[in-house]
Amino acid sequence: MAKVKLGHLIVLIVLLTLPVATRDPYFLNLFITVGIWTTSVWGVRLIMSTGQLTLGHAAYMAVGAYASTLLTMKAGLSFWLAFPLAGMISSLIALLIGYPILRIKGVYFSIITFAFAEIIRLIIVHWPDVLGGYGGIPSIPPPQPIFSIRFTSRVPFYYLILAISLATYLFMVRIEKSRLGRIFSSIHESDTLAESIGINIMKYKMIAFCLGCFFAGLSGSFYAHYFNFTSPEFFTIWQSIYCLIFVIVGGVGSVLGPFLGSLFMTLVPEFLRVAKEYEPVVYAIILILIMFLLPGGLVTLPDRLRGKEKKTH
Amino acid sequence: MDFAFFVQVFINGLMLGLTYVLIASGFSLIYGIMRLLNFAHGEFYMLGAFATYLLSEHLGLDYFTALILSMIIIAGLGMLVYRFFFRPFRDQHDPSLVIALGIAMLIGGLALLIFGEKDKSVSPVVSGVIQILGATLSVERMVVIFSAILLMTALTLFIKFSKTGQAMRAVAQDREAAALQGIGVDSTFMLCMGISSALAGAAGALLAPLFFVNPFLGMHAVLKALVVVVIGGLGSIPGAIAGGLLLGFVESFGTTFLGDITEMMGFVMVMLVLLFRPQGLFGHG
Amino acid sequence: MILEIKEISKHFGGLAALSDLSFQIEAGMILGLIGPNGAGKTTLFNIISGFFPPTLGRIFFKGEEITGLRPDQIASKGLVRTFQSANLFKAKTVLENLFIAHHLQVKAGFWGLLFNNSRAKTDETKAFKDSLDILTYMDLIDVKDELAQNLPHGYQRALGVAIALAARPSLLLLDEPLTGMNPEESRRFIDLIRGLRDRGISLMVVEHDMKAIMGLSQRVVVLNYGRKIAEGTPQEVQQDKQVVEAYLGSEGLT
Repeated sequence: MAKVKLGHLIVLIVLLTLPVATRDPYFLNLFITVGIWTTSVWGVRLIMSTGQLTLGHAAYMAVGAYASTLLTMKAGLSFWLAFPLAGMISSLIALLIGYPILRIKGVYFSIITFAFAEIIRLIIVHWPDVLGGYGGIPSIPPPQPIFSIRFTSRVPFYYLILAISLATYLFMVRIEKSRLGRIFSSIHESDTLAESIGINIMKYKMIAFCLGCFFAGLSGSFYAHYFNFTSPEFFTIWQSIYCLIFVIVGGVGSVLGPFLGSLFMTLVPEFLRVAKEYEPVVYAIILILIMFLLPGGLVTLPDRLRGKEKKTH
Repeated sequence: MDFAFFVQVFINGLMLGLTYVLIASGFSLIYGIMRLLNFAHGEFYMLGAFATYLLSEHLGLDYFTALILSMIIIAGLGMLVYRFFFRPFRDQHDPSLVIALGIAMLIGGLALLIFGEKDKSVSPVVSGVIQILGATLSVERMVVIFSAILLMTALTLFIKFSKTGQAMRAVAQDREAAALQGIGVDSTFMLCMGISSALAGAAGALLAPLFFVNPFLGMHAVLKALVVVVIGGLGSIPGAIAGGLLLGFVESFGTTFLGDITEMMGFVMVMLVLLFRPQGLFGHG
Repeated sequence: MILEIKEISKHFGGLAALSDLSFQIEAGMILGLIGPNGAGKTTLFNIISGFFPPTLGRIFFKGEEITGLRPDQIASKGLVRTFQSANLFKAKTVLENLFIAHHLQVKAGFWGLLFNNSRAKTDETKAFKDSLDILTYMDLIDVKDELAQNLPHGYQRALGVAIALAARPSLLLLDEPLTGMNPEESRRFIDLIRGLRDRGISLMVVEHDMKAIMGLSQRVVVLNYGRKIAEGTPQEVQQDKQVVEAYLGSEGLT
């Protein structure tokens, strides 16, 4: 137990001092990207903890990105208000979409979340005056200065996403330990049993889904104000599948899974120095390898190397 | 609008609808028999288009030979994908879905690398026009229509009357019972994948000369398949036929009169179906 | 009268699984439900506990209509069922299973649950103590830290009942609780069921073990082909002509 904590501490210190060690903007950008994906993918894991497979997660990132953009650019709100609102709007859309389909057979959930990714893209594309169409929306302002920190270089963005990721991590750990987390996992293990002891599975599946999409919205909002640009191309079906792949590669069984998965999958293409066109193939190959060789994900690697047979869940 | 125009839009809808039927039937077949949402299904559609493109443009084969050959190749590919990637996860619900998505990405990604992201075109099979009820229609489209009808008829007859077809239906009904009766579940699954993929490939090949071919077709094909099977009923071939034709006509008439917004029509119908008849037109409650 | 089944019918496609079924359970009673395989016992169970609705008919629990309610709603009113094949949270320990099963006893709201406020803490302490009490009562206290999936069969069934008890039922539906048990285990389980009745829980038990059910129940309802063919005390039912015929070729009534 103490060993695990030490490892966490080391990682934390490394992460905190990264911009001090290197001011290379390219490198920082890489880690900022990891942070964005990690935050979003934690949401996927939360949804999966009730046994639901969300195949359109990037759509909720898009909702967050566009909501945040419009709130700051059209409604004049400060980023610091638009950011949490973007998350809540994503949750609300999740509620509206999820409510009718949750009542129906489970497989439809995957289908509709998949289709929803495309629906969002179509809405963005067909409403160009408000949502910018294919070209997207440029010149999105960065966050307003806070505590006299100005968001003019990558470093403040890095610390911001680090803070967001840490907060998300703590939230996820809290859920896992709480009764709510137990309720989620009991629904996943046996929803009939859960129902028979008085758990309203629809309600809790909905809660998990809305919470998961909240974090997607947050990450989308950050995305928009960091890249100063948002476009339907960033949040396609492929990105949604990436969200799923990242959590599986990292390992669904552990809270650290989404972080490991996002980290690994962002760094590998860099390491291989491959062009962007190779991304889908590389990701697919990694996913398939993981599913065959290390089904519990990267988190189970240390145990596997030590020869222990880790029971996957 | 005048009658000739109506005929044109109708035939267009019929053609589109029949291709959707081909794709969706394969998808429904896989779900009905294997209980798998094969998200990689659309990739076989895309490969059908590319295979036809390669065989006819680069090897100079005539179209119909290219079509048949494409179907055979893709059937084989579908069976290989099942044997090496789907079978190990056969009894695990979520991993099956994930591996299907992974394969979809693999095939789509490879196509992207090999063929590049630019659209390719396949030269038309047959040139010429024909007059039906006053409307001028390309023979091309009639070829698609008749080929699709031929394939669907073959499929329906096969499933209804052949021994293998009956075996497939038995497995779809109750896997364990079928196994107890001595039906090879694994070989049934393999055959199912082969047939379904071939149908998807055929759809891709048939439409290739009419539209452009690019590696992103796969996901769009799966989306269409999903829309059709939700409307028609998951696992139902009559549902795939009804849903596919319905979608085809809605899109054809929609694009003519409503323009771009027609893209959303399919999803609107999906929402309506889920609200009022979630099991689809032909699905079971 | 704690449970009233009124003219319940269930049709699946063209097949009538249950037809015009009516009976009552008085509070403090153990009612036995028997019938050959396929008679519709499990269907009835599923309908009463809310897993699917009847085609026709109504169900009343403690005077309140519960037809068409969700399983969790029905459970919250005090009607809890067990399952034929041990339905457990397999990857969790015995204690954790019980802990989760106290869901209905938890009063803290959503945010309280999340941030573990004082109310949540009180709930948890209570649930913990109560879980230990139930496990002791069910003789499972020694295996409380074992994973549910590692338990031997008899223990798993006991855990199933323990989980149901945590939901504080006034009426407990036991679905073939003695299946797969040896005579010693069965005997203990039967004593357990009597003990539950003595504590004020009414019971409806579906069983194939004739001896057990005849010894246990105050009243017996016999189903065949989805219809009630007899109802009465165990003695009355054992002598009923129709019942004897239904079981001819089956295991008999003794």
